[in-house]
Amino acid sequence: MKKTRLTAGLTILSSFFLAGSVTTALIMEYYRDPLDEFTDSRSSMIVTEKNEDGTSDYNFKSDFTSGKVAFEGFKNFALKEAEETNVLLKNENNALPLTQDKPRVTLFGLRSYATVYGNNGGSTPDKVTVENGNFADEVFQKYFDVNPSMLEAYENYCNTLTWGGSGFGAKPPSYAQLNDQKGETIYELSPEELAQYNPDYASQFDEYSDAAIVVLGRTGGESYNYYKQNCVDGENPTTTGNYLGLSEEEKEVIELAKEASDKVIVLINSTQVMEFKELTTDPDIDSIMWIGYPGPYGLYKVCETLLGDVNPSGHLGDTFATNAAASPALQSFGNIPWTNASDFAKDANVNSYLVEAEGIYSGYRYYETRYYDTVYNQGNAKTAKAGTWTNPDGSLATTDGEWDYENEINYPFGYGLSYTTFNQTLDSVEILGNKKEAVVKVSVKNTGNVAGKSVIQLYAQTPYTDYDKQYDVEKSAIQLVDFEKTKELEPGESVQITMHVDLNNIASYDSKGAKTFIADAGDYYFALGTDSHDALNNVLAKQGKTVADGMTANGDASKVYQWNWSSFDDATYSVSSNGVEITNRLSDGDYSMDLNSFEGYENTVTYLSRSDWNGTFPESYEGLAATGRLAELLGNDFIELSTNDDTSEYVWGADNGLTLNDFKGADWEDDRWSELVDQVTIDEFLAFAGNAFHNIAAIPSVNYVGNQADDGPGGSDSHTLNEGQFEGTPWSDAAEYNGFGTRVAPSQQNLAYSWNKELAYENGEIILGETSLIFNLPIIIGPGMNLHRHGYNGRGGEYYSEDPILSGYIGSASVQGAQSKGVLVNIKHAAFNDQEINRSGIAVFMNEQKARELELRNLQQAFEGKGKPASFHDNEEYNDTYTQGAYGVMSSYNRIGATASSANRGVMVDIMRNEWGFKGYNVTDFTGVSLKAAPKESILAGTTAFCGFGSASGSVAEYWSGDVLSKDADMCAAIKNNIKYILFSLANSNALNGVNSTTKRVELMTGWRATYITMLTVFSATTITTATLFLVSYFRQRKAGK
Amino acid sequence: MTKRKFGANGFIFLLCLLFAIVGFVIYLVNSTTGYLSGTALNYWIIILSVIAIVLGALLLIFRNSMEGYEGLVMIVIGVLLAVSVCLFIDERKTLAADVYFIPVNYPQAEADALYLGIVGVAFYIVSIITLVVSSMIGIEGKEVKKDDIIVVESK
Repeated sequence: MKKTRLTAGLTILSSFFLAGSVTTALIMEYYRDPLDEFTDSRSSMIVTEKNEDGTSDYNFKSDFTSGKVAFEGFKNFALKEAEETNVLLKNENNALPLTQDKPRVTLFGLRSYATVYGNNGGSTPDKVTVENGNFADEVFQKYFDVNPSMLEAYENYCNTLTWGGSGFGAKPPSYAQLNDQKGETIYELSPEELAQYNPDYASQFDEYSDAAIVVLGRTGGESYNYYKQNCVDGENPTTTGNYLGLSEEEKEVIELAKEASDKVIVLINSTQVMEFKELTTDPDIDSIMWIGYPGPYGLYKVCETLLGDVNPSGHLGDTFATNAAASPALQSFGNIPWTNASDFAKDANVNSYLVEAEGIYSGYRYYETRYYDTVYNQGNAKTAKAGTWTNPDGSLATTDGEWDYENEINYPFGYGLSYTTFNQTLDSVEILGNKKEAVVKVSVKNTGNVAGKSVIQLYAQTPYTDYDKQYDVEKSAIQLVDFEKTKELEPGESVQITMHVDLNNIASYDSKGAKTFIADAGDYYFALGTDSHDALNNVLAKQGKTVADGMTANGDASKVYQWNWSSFDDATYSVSSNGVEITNRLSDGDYSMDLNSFEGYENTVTYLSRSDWNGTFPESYEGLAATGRLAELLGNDFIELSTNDDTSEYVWGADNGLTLNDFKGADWEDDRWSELVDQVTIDEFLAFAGNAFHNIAAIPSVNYVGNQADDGPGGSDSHTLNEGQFEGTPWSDAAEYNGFGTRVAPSQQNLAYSWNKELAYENGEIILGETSLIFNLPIIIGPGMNLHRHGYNGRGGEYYSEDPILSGYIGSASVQGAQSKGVLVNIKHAAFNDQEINRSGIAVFMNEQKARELELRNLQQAFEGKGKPASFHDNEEYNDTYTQGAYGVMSSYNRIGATASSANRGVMVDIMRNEWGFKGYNVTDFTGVSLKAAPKESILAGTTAFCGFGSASGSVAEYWSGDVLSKDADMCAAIKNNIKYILFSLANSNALNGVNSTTKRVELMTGWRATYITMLTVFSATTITTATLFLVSYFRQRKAGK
Repeated sequence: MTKRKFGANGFIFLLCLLFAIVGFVIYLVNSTTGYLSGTALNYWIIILSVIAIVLGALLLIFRNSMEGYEGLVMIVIGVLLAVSVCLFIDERKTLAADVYFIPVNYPQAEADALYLGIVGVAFYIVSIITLVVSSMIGIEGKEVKKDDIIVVESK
């Protein structure tokens, strides 16, 4: 009896473990790609036999033939990029560069030791590179004699913290306790706290007084949230009341630095726009330099810039406001929940909304335009109600008062100093007869004493007319239209640059009158400027204004070109470059972004207008409930599938004998495409579409064996150089670079602040392109191209700028560089990911003018391959560049209007595919095939893949099959189109690099496979054994009659 | 006359059934409320769990007449519960992936659903462990003869 019971128990236990082993095996195989990434293993590989005639099937060539070449190549580019991304903001009495051979300096600020190298999550920089000789203190000590006592205090403190992080993907090179995703805690050590970690921290100030270098910073990254006015009091009060203002402890550290040296240099280690006007106006602060997120190598170039070995040439790509809480964009921001959010199915992801009532007036478009109207004393520009203007001390005004540009702005968009001086001359402007392009020639001369690079910033002003006021068309008083960066000019050297300005970008979108892009009758201006404010002052000077009219400084009219268009024009800009009529797509109907257009919400939103700045200043629009059609759309299930359409015309699974490899580099117009597409079944499409997490699933019917993919945009998230290979052969020295990643360049925002299109192209070639080739990852998700609506999107460092032209052209250059190496780029996140708060599901509303003139104009440059650098125009080597726009995109987590972004037909089909001619791959962010992505609506809107692991969840599972979808004619047509988009983009990427007719995928043994196979073997054996013993015992017992 | 007293061993088996019932109820609640409300139920989990629980209840009620089949029935119950919990885990793998792969990217309701699912899985597992113990010690306890009445003495 006892034996029977024992064996029964053991049988149950064994069978439990056996079932568990089976489950483990299934789950491991389900997550095989991320598991490979996590464990640095390879569970399959693509095998190709070499051609007998010796020809190569590699149409995209890597320059990195070994681990050594790759390691050096990535490093050298990171250093090259870092040279141009630092922005010198203040340099009183030429305090910089430091002149001593090896200056004796004291480092202040926790971030001088615990430097923020990059984002925490979302393009996290490479931790292993930092750890191998590139910690901030190590780099500083290579260039400076650093005060050891002060350093010791920070070191002792940081030794109490946890270095690194956990979780999937790249681990951040940061201290876990110094990251605050909620934007509530500002990490800094006060003098009292410094004394706790080294009582003698101040003992050597006199010995190391050549300069006091203060590093102030904020962390940021994916899912980082900041709120305005959350630091008015409490534990972290700041000057501005915002998290990005200076805390009491930071100010104490500044005072300490002033005591330590007569020369105080402040480095701003943050991509979020910090608020530090008090440092700008403080005469005891000699220099300020923005360094953003420098990456693992960037501090070398920061130090070389401080020493004068590098001449700074970066310029701000965002407006540095004194107190962002007074900006119109931040009036409606954060967590503003639908009051009835709980009524919706949870997996529909209905949470909150964002009403961007500022219209086009975000960033400099707001500050400069309001400034312009104060000079003209128009539009109620000077009057400001409480909470909408900034006190001289930087705090937010709590009473009604007068708006003053000088109080609102710390540094304007485009600002940046150099160690030399330049003279820029507007030589000529030719407006072509078709009004589509202007040819602008600008001469630049280095008039200083050291070599340096100069940025040409060309701005435009368009007329603000009665027509505009009648139809609510808003006009920025100044807008960037193009930019170029010179080569390094020696003292006295000159260069002339010819710019081809796309005049489509000065057209305004009129959603109420002409319902297309228009150009008003009136005076137009092109102006050079050292920044947006300088350019506007130059325009004002041309218009006869001076400081006597309230200008902050007199302008230079010679840097301005004026012309007049005598008639209103609603035709020239009403047809896209793809030949499609441009008209309202986002102003009414299901895909509208204008909340006012939905039934029951009429006149809810008042958009900011320069005709009455104070009277139309935005509010937060809290307390709205989702009702009516808007609520139906939010449910993400708003298009009913037909069950009985005649779909006989659609052929699936045809045997046409073609393979994808037959289409390597094929043109969209190739008439064989339909035959290839017909080979694919709907279920094959669904399997492909659903398995897109770091993966490009196989399509067996066209002999595509599949590839892995990875997250960018700063390089590979999950792969390291020990996995590197050259044309299918692993590097012989790969193991020597175990753990080293490719995310070594400064942040994407830093790149934009270089204002260098050629550098961005090279970034695309190397950081995206070479990463793709050496790891055989055809898709690298990037570049990140959402506009900065303000500085409070914690993920801002992964995006470029507040301006659509700066962001658009830098992004476009990066795309062109990446595609030259065959990367199937995924521009992210289309579109309007304006904050990380509730990013998954938040409904973003705005008027169509804002959508089209800012975010969409920005993305359009990359989708249409615009912004070719002047130097490429005259260089045959680049003749084939900028002929093809982006091949891929990733949609955003947020809703566009009321619909899931991927399901918004207005953006995804009408604008992106029709107007811009986009014919590529369109994947959702990590939604999986779930209701949050509105899968059937998204397929109908051109979505080709859903980032996830294959299986449909929830109610979506009911229709996620070929049997169901094949009965709806619209769905069949959409799937056919989407299959072609997939195959076309793959055929033109390096997914087919090295592929020939022999290519196949073979499965490999890995550690995790060995583990589950062992478990299965052991527990199968024990289950069989114990079950046998039980049965023997049981029957013996029965036989014995017990 | 033969009378069987319900002893501590029986209570352990009863606990096994109660844990299984709680795990099963949590599965149902987890699948039909909160983030997963409206999602399809896995009927295999329902069928297998119900059979296991009913079998257990029958074994408990008819322990006298089923005495000879006790071990066999417990193995069947164990296998059914083991497969149920594995299916339950498999059902929640994408939920766990959402929470793990890209942190702070999911609604709180999704995390809540995952945590409730984990609790449900834990109850199933505890139920199986209890079943293993119960199968080894039996549910009828030690038999003691007192006159012509058989009493099951608690241990």
